[in-house]
Amino acid sequence: MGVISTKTSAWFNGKPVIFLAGSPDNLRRLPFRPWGRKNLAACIVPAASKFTPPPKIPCIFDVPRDYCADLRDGDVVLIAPDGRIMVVYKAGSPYNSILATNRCNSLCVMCPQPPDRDPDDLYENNLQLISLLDPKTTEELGITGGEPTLLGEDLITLVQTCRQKLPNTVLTLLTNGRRLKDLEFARALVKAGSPNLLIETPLFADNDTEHDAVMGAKGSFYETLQGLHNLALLGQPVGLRTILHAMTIKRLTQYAAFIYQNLPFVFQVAFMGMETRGLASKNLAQLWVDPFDYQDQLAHAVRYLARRMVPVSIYNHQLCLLPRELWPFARKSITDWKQAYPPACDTCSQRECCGGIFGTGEKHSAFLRPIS
Amino acid sequence: MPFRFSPVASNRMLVVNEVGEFIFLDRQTFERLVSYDLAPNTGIFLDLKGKHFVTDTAVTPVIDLLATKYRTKREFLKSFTGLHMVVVTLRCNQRCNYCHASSQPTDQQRWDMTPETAVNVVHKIMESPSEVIKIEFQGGEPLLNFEVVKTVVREAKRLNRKKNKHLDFVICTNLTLVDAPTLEYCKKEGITLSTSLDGPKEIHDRHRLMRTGEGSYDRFMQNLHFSRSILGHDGVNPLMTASQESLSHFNEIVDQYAALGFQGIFLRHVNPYGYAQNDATIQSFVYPMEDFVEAYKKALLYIIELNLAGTPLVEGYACILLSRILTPFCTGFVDLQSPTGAGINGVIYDFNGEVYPCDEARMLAKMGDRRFYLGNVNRDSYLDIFTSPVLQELIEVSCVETLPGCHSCPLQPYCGADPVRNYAIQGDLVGHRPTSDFCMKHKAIIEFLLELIDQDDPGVMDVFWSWITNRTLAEVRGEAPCSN
Ligand code: SF4
Ligand code: SF4
Repeated sequence: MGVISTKTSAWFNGKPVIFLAGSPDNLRRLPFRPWGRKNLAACIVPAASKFTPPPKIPCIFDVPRDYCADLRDGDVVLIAPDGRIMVVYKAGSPYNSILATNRCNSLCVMCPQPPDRDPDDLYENNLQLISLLDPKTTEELGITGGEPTLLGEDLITLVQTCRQKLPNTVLTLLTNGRRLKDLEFARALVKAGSPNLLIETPLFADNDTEHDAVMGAKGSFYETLQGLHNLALLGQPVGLRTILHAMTIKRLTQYAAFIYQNLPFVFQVAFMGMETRGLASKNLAQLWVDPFDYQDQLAHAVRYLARRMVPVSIYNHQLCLLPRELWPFARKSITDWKQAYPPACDTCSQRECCGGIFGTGEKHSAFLRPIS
Repeated sequence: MPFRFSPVASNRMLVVNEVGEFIFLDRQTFERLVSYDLAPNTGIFLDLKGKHFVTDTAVTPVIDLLATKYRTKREFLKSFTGLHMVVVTLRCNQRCNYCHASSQPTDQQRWDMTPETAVNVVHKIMESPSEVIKIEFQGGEPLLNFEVVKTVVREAKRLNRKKNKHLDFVICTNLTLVDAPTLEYCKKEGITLSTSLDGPKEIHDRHRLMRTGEGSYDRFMQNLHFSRSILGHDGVNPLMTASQESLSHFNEIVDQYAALGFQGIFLRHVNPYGYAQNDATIQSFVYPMEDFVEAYKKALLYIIELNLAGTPLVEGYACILLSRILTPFCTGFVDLQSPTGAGINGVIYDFNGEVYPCDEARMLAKMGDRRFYLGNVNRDSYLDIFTSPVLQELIEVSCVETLPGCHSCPLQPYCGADPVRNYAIQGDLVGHRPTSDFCMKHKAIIEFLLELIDQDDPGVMDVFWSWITNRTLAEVRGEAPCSN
């Protein structure tokens, strides 16, 4: 693992550097720099380049040019033993996150990335990744899963490391909060991350019957609530998110009412469009509602919370599927590499403001229409 | 889970839980609810479950959630007395028909508070554990004893250098005596003015009279503009008192408040005791509460319309009740609280240093019944006054949970008790709800608001929330250009 650099000088102090050749294209070899050689971990050489890497440095040749064009200074890439290059951090993107674990203690019906076992070196790799990031330019970093709290003490170390190495970075931890019902664990986590830590937690209903059914875990509703109240007690900012589909849409205003009555301290409630991938795609028949058809429910719930000064955001929704009164609440939220605009968008006046669709999703609304 | 219920006018059952979450059920559904006949997977059952009326699964976590909400709702009990009314003189240059402040002629200096008493009052006030202290100067006409007002302000600010409380001052004045130096002083010290405006000239002048007999309206208007020119537009806030004659003119009164650019109006029923009880104009003030409630409802709908048409104006009384009904937070309001706010949230110091839990208690004493006398700042300690047996008794008999009638009333979480009023009108502290016009008024108005909320008209709800959260309609609606 190392940090991409296209420059032949000013290499990050002590961090392993992966030199990306090709700019300028006529560069044939690295100028001799003893201090630089020491942390040169590998070279990536684009196809048809005349560059000759220094001896004894691992090197990947003939990398397609358009792939190289996507790599920027400060990106962190992991080179697998078989030579595959994986970008684990994109400099300047607000969507970077650390995958803390693939394991989960729930099984949501619409999970886009169903739980899995973890590679042995995941945790060490994550710690290494954190140490490679530039504290000056890393503004935001997510910690996601799976369910990160399953790491237990390791999660606390991970958060602590982030806060120490990246003192100016806002950390957003995505957790279902069930494990935070343990006040001491919650306290340790908050202490490790504060004041840079935000926590976002999924909550799907105003009652355990429906929430537990979506989560695929009995008892999770009250565990999460207890976790949320613990966090509030500790002064930890928490946001809530729900995913809109057939099982959550029917009683959306009741959901909003429940939040206001029982969790009025949350810093945000996010209504998220469903990414039709993973289990969501498998359970599509049971879950699919065209966003076009739930506009009224969504509008009512959003207005309900906005009146009460609970900050609301709408994620993953195309503007042409939202009544205009909801536009101020819509956020461009689809990760850049997943974001796509179908042909209809070409003539749309709102393309700049709109986040587009999930390129990774299986099914999209049948009602995408350019706005004049 | 515990809840209270009662049928309402729309032939439905109003069901309210211990923390004020409510739902209207048709009779049939209600029957099924209480006979355990609702299927757990139906929408209505889940609605009731989400509001913690029922549970078919866990019980303990639901009780924990209710407990948290209950504590939040009762938070006002933590802070103790914040509103301190100081009667700096009984003298007044007006003689309003409904005045219950036992006003005295302007030349009788013996009705003034002395500087020594004033200093003792301030010391008691600043001993209050409340972090927020509001000192309200009353009279008579407080401007007639302005030196003592200044003494109180000076002394309070001096003590506050150590105490560091949030300190507010308000002078309740009829405005007829304000002059430039007075206003400059108020501006410098951050004092706002509270005044009385009953409506357009004919209404105002009918009961708000100068001691010489002529009306006070013209002078009032002149001085209102003058005061605003120095204190700023929002430096003067009016209160209105409804007489029999004004009931049919609420809309004009509302229009006048709006035209004068006031932020709000508080449609207030006249107090049934004090001068109003033994004056020749008594028929103007002892009118059936039903008449007030009817006029109030109409006026409230009118005010909502005004707001929707672009004239922001808050109805203060509705605003307080709506906050109680719609938010999970506590809404302190001295006049409608359980236990009563008299004494533990508000207190009044008479010109001679005597302390009473509320103005009505002070009036009773003026009329010879010292039942609620708590002590005197010149002789008694803070603890003597604020733990006096009289105050303890007042609290004991003013918890709606234990009051006959209130104990089973679903409106309980939004309502309160007024034992002093019960005593004055009904002869005992506990009172009798079926014949109480206090109860009648609150029941009618709260139910009216609940029905309005239940209709869920987006415009009406936007107006309500603009009041509760003190924002413009556009802000409530989240109107903003595409900001992505
Ligand atoms: S047409 Fe495309 S760009 Fe326009 S609002 Fe719809 S999804 Fe967004
Ligand atoms: S005073 Fe009347 S309305 Fe208020 S709680 Fe008691 S019974 Fe209910």
